[in-house]
Amino acid sequence: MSAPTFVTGRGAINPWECDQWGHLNVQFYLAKASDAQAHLAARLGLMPSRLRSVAGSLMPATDRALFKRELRAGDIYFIRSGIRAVSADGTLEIASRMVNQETGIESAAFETRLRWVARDRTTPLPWPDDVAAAAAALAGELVELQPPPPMAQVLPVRQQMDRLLLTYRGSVEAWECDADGVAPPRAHIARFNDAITHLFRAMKIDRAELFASGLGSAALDYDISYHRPLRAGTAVEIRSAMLAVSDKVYHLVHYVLDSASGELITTIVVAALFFDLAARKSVAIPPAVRAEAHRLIAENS
Amino acid sequence: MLVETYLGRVSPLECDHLGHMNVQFYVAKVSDAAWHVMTSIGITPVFIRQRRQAPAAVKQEIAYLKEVLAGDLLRMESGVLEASERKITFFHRLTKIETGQVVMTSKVFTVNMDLDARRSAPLDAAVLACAQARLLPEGTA
Repeated sequence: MSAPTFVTGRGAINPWECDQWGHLNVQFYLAKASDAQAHLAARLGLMPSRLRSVAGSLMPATDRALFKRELRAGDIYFIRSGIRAVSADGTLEIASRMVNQETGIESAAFETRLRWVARDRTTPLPWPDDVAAAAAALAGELVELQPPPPMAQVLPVRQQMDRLLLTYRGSVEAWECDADGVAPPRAHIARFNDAITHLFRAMKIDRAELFASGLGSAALDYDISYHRPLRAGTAVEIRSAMLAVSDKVYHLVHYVLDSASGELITTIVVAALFFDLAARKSVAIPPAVRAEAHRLIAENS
Repeated sequence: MLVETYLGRVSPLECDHLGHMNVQFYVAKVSDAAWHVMTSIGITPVFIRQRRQAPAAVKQEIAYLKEVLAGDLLRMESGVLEASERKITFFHRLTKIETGQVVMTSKVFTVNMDLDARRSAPLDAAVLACAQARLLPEGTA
């Protein structure tokens, strides 16, 4: 018997959430998934008023996001979520699926591991007894939300960061953050989104020229580890490396670093592709781009 | 018939210096809900793209009943109050999940618009029939 799932989000895609490629930008997928997780947490007894008053806080440890079908301005969606397990290390394993409500086609899959931490958003705490009991009661195999296969084994070897490409430099602003000054997943994703344009530049790809040639760029798969909270006022940078390239898909890694301390804040491995903007279908990576990708891989090895 | 048309959360970004969600974002949530309630009567995203017509708001009444704070979980239910040859009046009711309190109600008066001519146009007959079959009971609003 399947563990229960719940509708945890419902809304519409607006043009201001869409990017140059004509579809919902990745950062808004994660924003909507975060809101859906809050609805699931409420079902465990973590209602907003309690979250404001207790000494604990929810914090994502990892996120896996698979982008399956694009959503475009005017589309309507819902999100369904359930709990896979409360693992031995105390993380709550949540699955969510974002579905185009008109077509019934799954647009994105999210697999998130949440931790219960102190107000510093770092120190692990045991889940409150009633929350742990509620989670255990709802957890189990989610027949409707089958787990995705693992990401291709292209996990990076940690390297000297200053040898990697600098693809973003900026700061975290209060308006991007939760009430306690910690940035939610969307803020991380927004920076990855900016970083890719700089990585493209290193590959001699001009986004405007790419667009004019009828090609777009899209993410397929994100594997994210949140190592430390990303706080308002922090100067951050991203170091990126190309990991692998095949006929259609390429893999890269971004490291979000605290510019002052050098501490690693977030790691994301990305699988991405190019697609025909008219046919909305993936295409082989252009030879010149593939050659540049191989050059970057060789430089990092 | 009321249908669920929005399920979301108040973002800190949507709150003003009074410490609660600013009025503009109630309307933003009504706007998101509108696409769902339209779909419930046949005005789907594909219908809008292919037929190049959709209801456009010409007047809105809103009652702000309770404040909502950053992090609050919200649910909108919506339905049709009135439907005639060119006009539909939608009703939206926003509820705070935690307390079940209704925090906002709104009536949105619309005129069906031809998206190319940018002028009013008759509603599709099937849409009008569907809207009239799903009218909310008197006294809902």
